[in-house]
Amino acid sequence: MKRLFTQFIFEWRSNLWLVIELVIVSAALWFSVDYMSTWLSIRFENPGWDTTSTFNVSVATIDSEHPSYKVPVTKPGETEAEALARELSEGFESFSERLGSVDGVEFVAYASTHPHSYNFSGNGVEIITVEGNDTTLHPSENYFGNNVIRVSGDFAQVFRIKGSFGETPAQLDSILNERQVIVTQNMYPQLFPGGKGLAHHTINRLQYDDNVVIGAVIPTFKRVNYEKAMFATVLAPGHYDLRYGFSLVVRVAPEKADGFIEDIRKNHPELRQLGNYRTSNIESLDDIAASLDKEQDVQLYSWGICILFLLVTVFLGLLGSFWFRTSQRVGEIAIRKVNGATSLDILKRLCGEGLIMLLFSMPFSAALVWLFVEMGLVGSVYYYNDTYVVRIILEYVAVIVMTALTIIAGIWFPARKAMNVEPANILRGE
Amino acid sequence: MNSTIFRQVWYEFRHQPVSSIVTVIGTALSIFLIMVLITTTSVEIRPFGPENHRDRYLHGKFMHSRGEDGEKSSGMSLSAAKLLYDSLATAPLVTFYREAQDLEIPVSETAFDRFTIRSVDDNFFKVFNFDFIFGKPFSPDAVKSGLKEAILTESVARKVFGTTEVMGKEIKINDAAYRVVGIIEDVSPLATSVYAQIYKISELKTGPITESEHLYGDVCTTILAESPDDFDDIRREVEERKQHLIRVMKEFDYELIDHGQPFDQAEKVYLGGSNEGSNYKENLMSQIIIISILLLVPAINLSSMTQGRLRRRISEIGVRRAFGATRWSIICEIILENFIVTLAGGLIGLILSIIFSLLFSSMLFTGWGNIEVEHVALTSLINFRIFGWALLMCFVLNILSSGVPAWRASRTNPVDAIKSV
Repeated sequence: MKRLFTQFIFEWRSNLWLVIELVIVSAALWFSVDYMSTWLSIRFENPGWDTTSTFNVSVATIDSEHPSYKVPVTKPGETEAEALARELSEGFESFSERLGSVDGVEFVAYASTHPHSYNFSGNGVEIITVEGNDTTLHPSENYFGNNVIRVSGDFAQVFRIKGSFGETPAQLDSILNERQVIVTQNMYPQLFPGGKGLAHHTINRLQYDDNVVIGAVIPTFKRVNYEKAMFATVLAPGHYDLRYGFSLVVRVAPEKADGFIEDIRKNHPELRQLGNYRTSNIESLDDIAASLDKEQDVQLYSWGICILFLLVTVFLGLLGSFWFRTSQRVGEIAIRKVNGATSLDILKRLCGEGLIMLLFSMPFSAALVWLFVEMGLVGSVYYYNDTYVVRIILEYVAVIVMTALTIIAGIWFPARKAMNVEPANILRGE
Repeated sequence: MNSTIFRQVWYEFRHQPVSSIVTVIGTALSIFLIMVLITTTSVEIRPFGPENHRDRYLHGKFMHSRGEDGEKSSGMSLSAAKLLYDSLATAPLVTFYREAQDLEIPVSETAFDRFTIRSVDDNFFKVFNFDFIFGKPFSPDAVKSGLKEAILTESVARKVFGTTEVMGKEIKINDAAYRVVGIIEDVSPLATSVYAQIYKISELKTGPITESEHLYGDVCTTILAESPDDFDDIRREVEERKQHLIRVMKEFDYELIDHGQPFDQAEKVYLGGSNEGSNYKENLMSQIIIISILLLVPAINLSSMTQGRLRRRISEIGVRRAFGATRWSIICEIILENFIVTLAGGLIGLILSIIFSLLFSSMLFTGWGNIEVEHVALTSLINFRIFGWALLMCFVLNILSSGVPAWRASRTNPVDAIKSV
C-alpha cells in the first residue's frame, strides 16, 4: 500500500489530470444520481388514485347562436333563461345516465377536475368544532388553505380511492351522497396527525361560507405524477358550473378500455348532442398523464444518458492512460514478475493505482458535492427535508462504488495485457 | 507541411491504435451529446416553416393581475390583447389568435375523430408562412364579417373527405358548418406557436374592460418586427400601452403584475407559466454548465493521453528545436495534429447525433401539447449553423485537450531531449 502511494506521488504530473477528472465526474455523477433518484421516487410514490381504464369526457353547452341550439320549452311563469337553466340541469343527469349505460362503463361521476391535472381550485377552510366544542385554535392557526374538487356520483369508485381508515370506495361515495365532504389526511396535521380524529368535525368553507361535516379522511393524493402528494384537498359534493361546461369521469371495464373511445365515436351518436349539451372531447386519463409526464420523462432520460456518458468517459480515460502506461512500464512489470509477482499481483497493483486516484479525489469531490448542496443545487427541492443528509451520503457512496467499478473495468484490459508480459523476452532486450 | 502533419497523425494512429481509437471515441461521444443538446434547443428557437421569422417574433400570451380577492393568472382576453398590441407604430404586423384546442369532428355519417383546431385572424397567415396546396388565406373582409370559413391541413382533408380537392366543401366544427377555403401542408407539432390541424376564423368581438373577468381569455399575440433591432422600440411602445391598461384596471381596483411581455422566441420557449416570467437565462446557464462538463471531462482525459503520447516524442521535439523550430511552431503543429483527430471524432459524433435525432425524435423533441413528434425536418438537423457549432465545439475541445501538453512539450530543452535518445 505504502509503495502504491509512493508511486502515485512519484507520477503526480500524469496522475493529476485523472484525479481532476475524477473530482469533476464524481460531483457531476452525484448531481445526476440525486436528480434521478429524487424524481423517480416522486414518480413512483403512491398517487392515491388509480386511473387505469378511466376516461375524461368533456361536455360543452351549445349557445343560442349555434345552428344546433334547441330552444328550451318554457313552463308557465318561466323565462327562456330559467327554462334553459332547468333543462341543462336535467340534461346533465340524462347525459350522465346515458354515458353510464354504455357497454363496459362501470362508474360515472362529475368532477370539477381530475387526476393528472394542475387545474385545481383553491379555497380556505376554518374548523368549527374540535371534539364537539368550539375551537380553541388561534384564528391564525384556524385558517387552512386547500384545494377543492366538486364531485358527484361515484367519484371514489371511478378512481378507486380508499379511506385512510379502511373505508371502501363505495362507502366513500355514499358519504359524498349524504352531502358530507371528504378531506385528505394532511389537513390540520398538528391537531390531527395522519388525519386521526379529523372525521366528523365541521369545517366552514370560506369561499362558499357553508358549514360542512367531514365524513371521511383519505390519504393525500397527487395532482400529477411528477409532484409529491402535498396539497390538502376537499372532495365536496357539488354541481357542475354551466359557465364552463363540465367533465364526466368514467371507469370502464378493463377489457373494454382499449376500444372505448372508438365505441363512443362510432356507436353512440346520442352522446354527440343531448339537448343543449355536446361532447367536445374524450380522453383516456392515462393518455393525459403520458402527455403531462413527457417533459419530465425526457429530463430523466437525459440525466440517465449523462450518467452513462460520465462513466464511459472515465472508462475510456483509464483505458487509454493505462494502456499507454503499461506499454511504458513493461520493464518494471517484467522485473516484478522475475521477483515472484504473480499475474494477479500485477492486476491488483494496476487496479490499486486507479483506486488510489479515486481515494485522492474523494475529499475534493465530497467538498464539491457539499458546496452544491449548500447552494441548493439538488435534484429536487421537494426532497430538501430532514433526512436529506443521509440521502446525500448514500448517493455519494453509490457514486464512489460506481466510479470504482468503472475504474477497475477501464484498467482491466491494460492490466490483462501487462499480466501476459513474458519477463525473459522483455529483460533480454534490457 | 500539411502532408507531414497528416503522415504524422497516421503514424501515431498505427503505432498507438488503442490510445488513438480511445481519443476518437471520446471525442465522438462528447460531440454527439453536445450536438444533440444544441439540436434540441435549436429546433425550438431557430426559424423553420411556418414559423419562418422566429428571430423577428415577439409573443404576448398571459395576463396576471391582483385584486382584493387575490391573484389570478391565465391567458389574455382579446380586449386586453388588442389594447396592448394592436396597431403598433413600431411593428408592421401583429396577429391575434387563440390557443389551439382538441375537438371531436365528424369524419363520416356516424364516426368522429379528434382534431386540433385554432381560431385565427387574417394577419396570422402573413406573420407565419404556411404552404398552401389549394386556396389562399382568409381575406380581411371574411375575418371582419366573421364568416364560417376553415383551412385544413392535407392529412385532415384526406381523413375527412378522402381527398385534398375539397375547396368549397363543408366541414362541421362544433356542429356548425364551415366552408373550406384552403388546404395547407401538414404543420409540424414543433411549430408550437401555430400548430393545429384545422384553422378557422376567429371571433373578433371586443368590449371595454370594466371588470377583472374581461382581462382573461385564450388569446395569443405575435408581433412580426421589421428586424430584431426594433425589439427595444416595440417593447417601449408596449410599455406605454401597459401604463394605459394599468390605469384602466385601477378603475376596478386591480393591478397588473408584469413579467416582461412581449417575449422573444427564446424567452417564450422557457416560459414558466402564466404567473411567472421566462426562465430563459436560468436554462441558458444550466446548458452552458452541461456543455462545459461535456467538454471538460473528455478534454482532461484526452489531455492526459496527449501528454503521454508526446512524452514518447520528446527526442523528436528536441531535435526540431535544435534545428531552429520555434516554440510557437511546435505548439501549433501539435495542436493541428490533434485537431485532425478531434475533427475525425467530431464528424463521427455529429453524424451519430443526426441519426439519433431522426430515430428518436419522439423521445427528444416536445411538440405542441406534448404530442408525439414523428419526424423532424432534415434541414433542422443539417445546416450550416449546426456544422458551425460542431466545428466550434471540436476546436474548443482540441484547445482544452492539447493546449497544455503542447505548451509543455514546446518547453523541452533540446540538449536534455537529445541526451535522452
